[in-house]
Amino acid sequence: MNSNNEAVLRLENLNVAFNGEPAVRGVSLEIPAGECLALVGESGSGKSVTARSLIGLAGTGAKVSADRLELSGRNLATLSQRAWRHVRGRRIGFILQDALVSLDPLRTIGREIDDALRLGSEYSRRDRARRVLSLLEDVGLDNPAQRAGQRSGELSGGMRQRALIASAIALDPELVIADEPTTALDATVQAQILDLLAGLRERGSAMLLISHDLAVVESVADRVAVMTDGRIVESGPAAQVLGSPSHDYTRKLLRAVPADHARGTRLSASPAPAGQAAAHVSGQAAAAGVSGASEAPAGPAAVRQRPLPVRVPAGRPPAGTPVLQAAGLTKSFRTPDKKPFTAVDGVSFELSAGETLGLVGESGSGKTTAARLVLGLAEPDGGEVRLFGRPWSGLPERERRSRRTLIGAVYQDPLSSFDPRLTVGQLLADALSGGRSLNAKAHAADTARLLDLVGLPARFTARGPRTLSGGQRQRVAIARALAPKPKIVICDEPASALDVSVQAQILDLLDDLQREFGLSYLFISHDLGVVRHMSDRVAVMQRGRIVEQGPAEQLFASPQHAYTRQLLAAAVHPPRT
Amino acid sequence: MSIFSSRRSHRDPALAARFPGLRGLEIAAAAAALFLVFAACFPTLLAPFDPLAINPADAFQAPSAAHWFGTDESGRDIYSRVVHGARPSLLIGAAATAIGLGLALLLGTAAGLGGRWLDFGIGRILEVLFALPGLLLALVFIAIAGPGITTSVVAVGLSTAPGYARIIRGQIAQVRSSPMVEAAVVLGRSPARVLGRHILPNALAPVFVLGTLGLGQAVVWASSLSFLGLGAPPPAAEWGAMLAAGRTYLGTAWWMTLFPGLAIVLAAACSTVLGRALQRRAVSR
Repeated sequence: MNSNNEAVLRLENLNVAFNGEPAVRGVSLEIPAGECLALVGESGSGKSVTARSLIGLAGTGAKVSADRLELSGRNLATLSQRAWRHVRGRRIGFILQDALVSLDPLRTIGREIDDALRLGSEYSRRDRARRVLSLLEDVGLDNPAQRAGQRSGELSGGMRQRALIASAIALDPELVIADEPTTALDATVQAQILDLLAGLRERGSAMLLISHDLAVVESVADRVAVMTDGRIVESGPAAQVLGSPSHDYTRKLLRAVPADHARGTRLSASPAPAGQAAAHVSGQAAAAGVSGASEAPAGPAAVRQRPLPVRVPAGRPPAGTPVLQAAGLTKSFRTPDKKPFTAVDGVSFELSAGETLGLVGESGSGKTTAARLVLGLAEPDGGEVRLFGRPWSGLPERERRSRRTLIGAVYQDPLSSFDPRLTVGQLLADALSGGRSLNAKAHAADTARLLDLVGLPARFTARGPRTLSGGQRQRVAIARALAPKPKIVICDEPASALDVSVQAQILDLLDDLQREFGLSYLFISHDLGVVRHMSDRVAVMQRGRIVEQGPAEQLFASPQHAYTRQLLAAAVHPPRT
Repeated sequence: MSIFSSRRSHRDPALAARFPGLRGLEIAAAAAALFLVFAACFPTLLAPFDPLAINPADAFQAPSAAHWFGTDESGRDIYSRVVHGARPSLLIGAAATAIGLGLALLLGTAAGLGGRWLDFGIGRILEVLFALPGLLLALVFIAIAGPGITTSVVAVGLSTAPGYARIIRGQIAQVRSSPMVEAAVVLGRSPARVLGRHILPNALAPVFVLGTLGLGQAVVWASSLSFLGLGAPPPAAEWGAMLAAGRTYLGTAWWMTLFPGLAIVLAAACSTVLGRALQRRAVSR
């Protein structure tokens, strides 16, 4: 760490309000040169607004005030828009989450970086060309001369992020702000980008890292500030804040990270997450409504309040009764340039009653195609899917339809899976009636029971899904999937788009429901921690093949395949609690 | 709805708040549209004279207290004729739009839902129709079927259908491949139910907005055909035919062309403003 104690960024009592609604309340930050401060919080906590205020881009209609906003001793609080342009890019570099939209798709990345360099007039054309190449090399892009001539669409997500970082650091800014720089990236790529960011500090820049992901933060940050509701609730050295958090909210965040919590332990802090206060319908009623496992001793309300350190084995059919079998599944597509592309290549697995099989892999590994084959949404080119021992793939849809109730699905983006014209009540009525009725009133009792099951109050029936939060939407999606009383649920990245504490609630909910109804899950995720937490067995996919599968603990403890080891090594290690 | 999303950027609520006049314009358009519809339904309540009564002594009178919009070459009251002209013009516009939408619904749905070959075939047919300018297409049809109100309605309907069909096809193809439809299939819904409950309602909602926008265009086209003498026959009080009659006297009796022309502009503008209002509502939903 740099011994230089001069603070590059000094921010005191920042307040930002939109239309009189405060988004940031009295935030103070200080970052010395060569140090990385991580600002951690969930969506809506005000962390991004704070970062944008630092570059004078809080947004239209924002009222920004600060007692002090200094960059290397120079006051920024009173800058005009014109003066800000001299600061942005030149003295403060900004790295955004999604490099795909931050880079102009029509321009080569060489020109993008050249643009950034042109802000500093000290470079001649030839110097700039040379510097573009050296920057691309600095951020670890192979073959810089060739990369400089490519457009963002021709690069992978990781390469785009590297190019964006290169343009942000082109003029050696004193402060680099990185807003969720790795959120859109796969685990192995994320690890590389984090290494790169950590290396930037050695150039002497101060860094402000914005992230919702505690694991990411721990691997890079020197100090951590935890934000919620527009305030910083805790800050200090990374090891201290993440190791022995003093604030409740920090503890809650840490607890919600699934990776280090064994299967069956709860992630969400409170027994009844937000919105469940009203859900106190008696357990028996709820259990009668959607009866899957008759042995279940109590309803979900009771289950939810019970601390569950150990998995309850009761209600599980004898092991080795496969409910879903996939044998040698193969599926290929043609890429736009007519090349055949094998998305799923000889994939075989079995799912037993009451079991969760985790399917883990990076984007493009064929997880979702495998799920579509299992759901009968696509026909395999080769191989077979059997459902409860009977053929499932290769049938005309007409013959599958009557057995569709056996298998449900929960998607990453619940909103797009809802008909936008329907209310929550209508969506559930449709699912309950087998599509015969949209009359929420006729199914009021069942609808309320389903909503209670997923921890939502019955009054939500009248709401449109658009008016719900991400977590609430996913709860509705789960309720809808459970309405036809399925035995198997395919969960495709069900919590990936959610904040970590909401993710924890959804994962806990899925866990409770599995126990309650003896459901079998095919749980698909790119997140090793989540898969580890949710799964009894895990299958690792790479380029359309399952490279390794086995019991979760065994697979994570002693991975056999090189790719599994690589994935595990790349997974940034979550902070211990 | 993809066709609208591009408009979102410059039609956002903040903009509407900054220009409250937009709102007033909508109300004015709605009022004018109501007035036109009323004129079409009960012309005799608004018009003081018989639109067809000839009175040579009063020919070519400039606008006055007795004849608000003046009189034409046969001494007929222009104001009464404009009021009576609302019915054929609006009827032709509405009927033509209905025919256009209906035809487009058949073609677009078939292309959007049918297999690759049906989509390809319909797509090529639509392209051939697109190659002819809309009005030319209508003229070709009239050349074959002979002039008259019915033929001009069908002609205008035919020439607007390809545009609607394209949009309907795109909408249906888009909704059909949406996760929402997939979710319905996973829940075991039959194709008919998926189509009736999810695909058609979601795909067609924006088409009705387009229909409202297109109504004005249909009125203009119907008037154009009448102007060319291919629609309503001469003595009839029809805006396009009145324009044609007044054209000869444009230098001496400007009122003969101005007022029917304004009526056409009013009808088209109302349909555009109201269509846009509906469009904005559909987006913000």
